[in-house]
Amino acid sequence: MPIDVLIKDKATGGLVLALLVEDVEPSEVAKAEASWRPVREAAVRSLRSQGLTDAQIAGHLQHAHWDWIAKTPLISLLAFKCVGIKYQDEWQGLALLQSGTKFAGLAPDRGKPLIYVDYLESAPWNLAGFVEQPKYGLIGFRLIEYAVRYSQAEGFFGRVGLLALPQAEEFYENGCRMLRVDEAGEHGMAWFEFTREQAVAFLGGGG
Amino acid sequence: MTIKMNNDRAWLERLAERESQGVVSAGGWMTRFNGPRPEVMQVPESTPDVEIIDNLTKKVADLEEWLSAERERREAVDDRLRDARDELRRQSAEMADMQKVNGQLRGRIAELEVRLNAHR
Repeated sequence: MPIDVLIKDKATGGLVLALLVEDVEPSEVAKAEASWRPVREAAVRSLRSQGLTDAQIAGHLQHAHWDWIAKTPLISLLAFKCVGIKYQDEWQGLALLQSGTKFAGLAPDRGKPLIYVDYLESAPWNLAGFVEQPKYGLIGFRLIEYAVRYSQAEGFFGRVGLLALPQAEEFYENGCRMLRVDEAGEHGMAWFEFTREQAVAFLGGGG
Repeated sequence: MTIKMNNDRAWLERLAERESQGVVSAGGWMTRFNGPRPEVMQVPESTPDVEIIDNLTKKVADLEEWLSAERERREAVDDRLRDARDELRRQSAEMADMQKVNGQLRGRIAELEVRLNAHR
């Protein structure tokens, strides 16, 4: 059963009721990609027309090349879960989570399993880098909140970890207030983590 | 598993305030599935929507075929596991019977040894 979640309508400034779907089917992921890709590509073309090189564009829009279709074979695997937020019959964000495949780097639970956020993306029309007027807000927060609650339900006490693209570090560090673990970064990306205490603080509004 | 989300407006407005300060929610990269992160994105100058949809439809069809084959493979593995479990159960029952007979024979041998000693 989908879960009611409030998201921010940036046009009105009000909160509107959207649906969080816990197990998004591959065909729905394909629909999301089909509607997101043209927006991403339009943004890339727009930057090109302004004279930016591809390398500069890749720096501005670091996930413009993502392809959710390529991730769909993973969804049926036991360790993976794809969750998404739908509003007005359009996918506003997706997250691909893994349960128990990665381990905490921070005390007091160092070495214990956590929920790993493999991918998290808000629809490109919700991101200032892609459009001038983003439509909906809080999408990333709601998906991270789900990851924390899923972690609690799995018995991982809210532990969540992820590798962030440089453009998203601000969101995870100052938005979600996750902790950076310097020695755990990979592929030029920083590792961020919620310990059980940070998770509680985030959910309780103190984090 | 039932997960409840927090729709407390004051909390959400606080998060929205942080978001308005310029944070972007997108991150993560899986090298093992996507290869090394490209330095330059390969985005075509112009791709007709129809072509995009055709490509996506084909990818979905390929995935559905893959899923179907995967499901069949899993069913075959399940069948083999079930057969192996039945065989194990049968062999365990046979072994239990043999152990019972073995115990009876040992008891009988012990009785005969006692009687033999008594005759001596």
